[in-house]
Amino acid sequence: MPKNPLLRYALRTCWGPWAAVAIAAVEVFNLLRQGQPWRGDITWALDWAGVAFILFGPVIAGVAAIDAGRLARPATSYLVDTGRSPLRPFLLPWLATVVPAACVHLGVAAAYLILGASPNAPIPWPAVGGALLTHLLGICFYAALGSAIGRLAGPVLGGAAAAVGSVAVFYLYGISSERLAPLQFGRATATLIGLHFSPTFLLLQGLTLAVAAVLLLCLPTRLSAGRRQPTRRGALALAVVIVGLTTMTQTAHVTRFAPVAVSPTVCGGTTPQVCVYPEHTRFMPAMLDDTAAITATAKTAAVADLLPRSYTERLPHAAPNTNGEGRIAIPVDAYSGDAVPRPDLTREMIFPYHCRQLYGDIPPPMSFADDLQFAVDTLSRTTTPSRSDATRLRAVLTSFRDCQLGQARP
Amino acid sequence: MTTIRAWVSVHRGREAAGGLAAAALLAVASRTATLDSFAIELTQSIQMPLLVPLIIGCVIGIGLSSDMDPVHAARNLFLPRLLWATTLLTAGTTAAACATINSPAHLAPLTRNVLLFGALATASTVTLGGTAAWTAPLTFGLACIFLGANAYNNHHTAAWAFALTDTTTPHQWLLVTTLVAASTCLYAWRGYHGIRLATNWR
Repeated sequence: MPKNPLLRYALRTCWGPWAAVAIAAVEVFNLLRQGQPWRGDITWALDWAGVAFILFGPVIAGVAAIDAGRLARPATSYLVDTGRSPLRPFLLPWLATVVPAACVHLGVAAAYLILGASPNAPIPWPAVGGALLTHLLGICFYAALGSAIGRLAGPVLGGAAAAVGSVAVFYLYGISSERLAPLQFGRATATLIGLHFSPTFLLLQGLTLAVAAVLLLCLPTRLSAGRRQPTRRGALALAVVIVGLTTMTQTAHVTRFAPVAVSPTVCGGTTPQVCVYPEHTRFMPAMLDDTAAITATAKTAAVADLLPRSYTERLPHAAPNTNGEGRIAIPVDAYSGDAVPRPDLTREMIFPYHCRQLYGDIPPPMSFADDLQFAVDTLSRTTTPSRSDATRLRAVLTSFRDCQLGQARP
Repeated sequence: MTTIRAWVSVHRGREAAGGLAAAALLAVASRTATLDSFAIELTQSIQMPLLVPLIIGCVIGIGLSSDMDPVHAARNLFLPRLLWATTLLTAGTTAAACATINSPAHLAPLTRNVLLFGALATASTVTLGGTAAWTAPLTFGLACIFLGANAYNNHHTAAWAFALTDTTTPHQWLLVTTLVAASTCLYAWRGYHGIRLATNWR
């Protein structure tokens, strides 16, 4: 045990420092899961890191409630009800939870930044710094929420109430995608290239969390018949927190991400040329080999002239392209690795992204799906297609080029 | 009768009764509600009454503990503790069963979940004490939702996240029965003391 009395108190009496072990386990698990699909994409990486809040937020609230609740019991009233600031006695247990949790989170965030940074794309430090700051404020808020609940409900009921209650609080204030959700730190399951954290969202989120955390941490209470209750000022502070969070969530129409201009500047290959966004440079080597192989198969089937000569990476929800270039969208499942599977890449190379019929309310006929599958199967094979297959393939690719979807006629 | 009253008073019987009553009300209020998404897309919509046993489990764990420091009892407390744990599990199942009133919810999955979360909470109470009764049930409950039923790259709910499904299988019953028997016997043997780094930990 350390000799410093404050450290000894924190380590011997409080649960908070020990909860950091559980938080570290959750963070590392989140860092390693599902093949780290966010590699190279710093915004996605930080958003992925924020997903762990859903799991460790209740842990922070629960242990903060236990520590504050034990200090707030009638037996220790002489330490708490001294007539001084209500913050003073509860600050140390709160810090004992917040500081280790923040250290663990920042340490893991450094790993996200190292793995999430791409050598070809600059790191948007203001957005990254803002996002990390809101993460820290989120830890402060969860601990303050637990501290307040623990003081009012005691260590036993308070721990469970704070842990379960923080899940309910997250459900109320952490989910909306159209309005300000102060407890939303991460949810993205797709690439976020072309988007950065919105400064307005981060500012409002940070302010809301900071004010709520301060009010909850400074909650004045008093002992009455052996039970701790909020004073009038305390009740007012609780009301301000609840009304403020609800009002902000219901009225502030801001989204978490703002669009930024990006372009696929990492290019390679000649027949065809392929360009991807700098964040996805890791896909390039395999993509160049596979596109060349697929083009070679197309040549043996005498349909190479129907394929675009150059491809650029397509982002989700992109509009139809009209410049004659092909588009390659990296499928969600491929992000866990470093290569797009050959059949998926073949599909992307022939998919008629330029046809407006694919973006309307009326889907193309079912025969389009059959044609697409036939073309993918034929071009994915390493053997030379038969004459009949080559004839049908040419008809299919011609129909795709001319946007006559589902109307291929050999 | 006096002994029973004393036993309930020494343990957190009042908190458990209040908690179970609140859980019963929650079960009735949420009996037709479903959870379709929760920050992430879920592989299936979850019946809300199936999540109420998570709270009931926490309450059972709290009820098993006591405010008193370990008492050097003059007799073996294995049987009384076993009876106390069984009583709380039965009361918890009754509270969860309130969700079946005028609703499509079935008793079997609710009972299974009460046993599952009750067993986890009992294990938490035995190892860490009553204040930490929530740790194992909440961790497992959140893991079921966010990992077992995460639609990101799962098409179906994972088999281990069966607490979210409204059908039961013999394997599930075997598992939860084993878990609840083991944790209850552990409680009856060890009590609620928990592992303590300091003497003032409760």
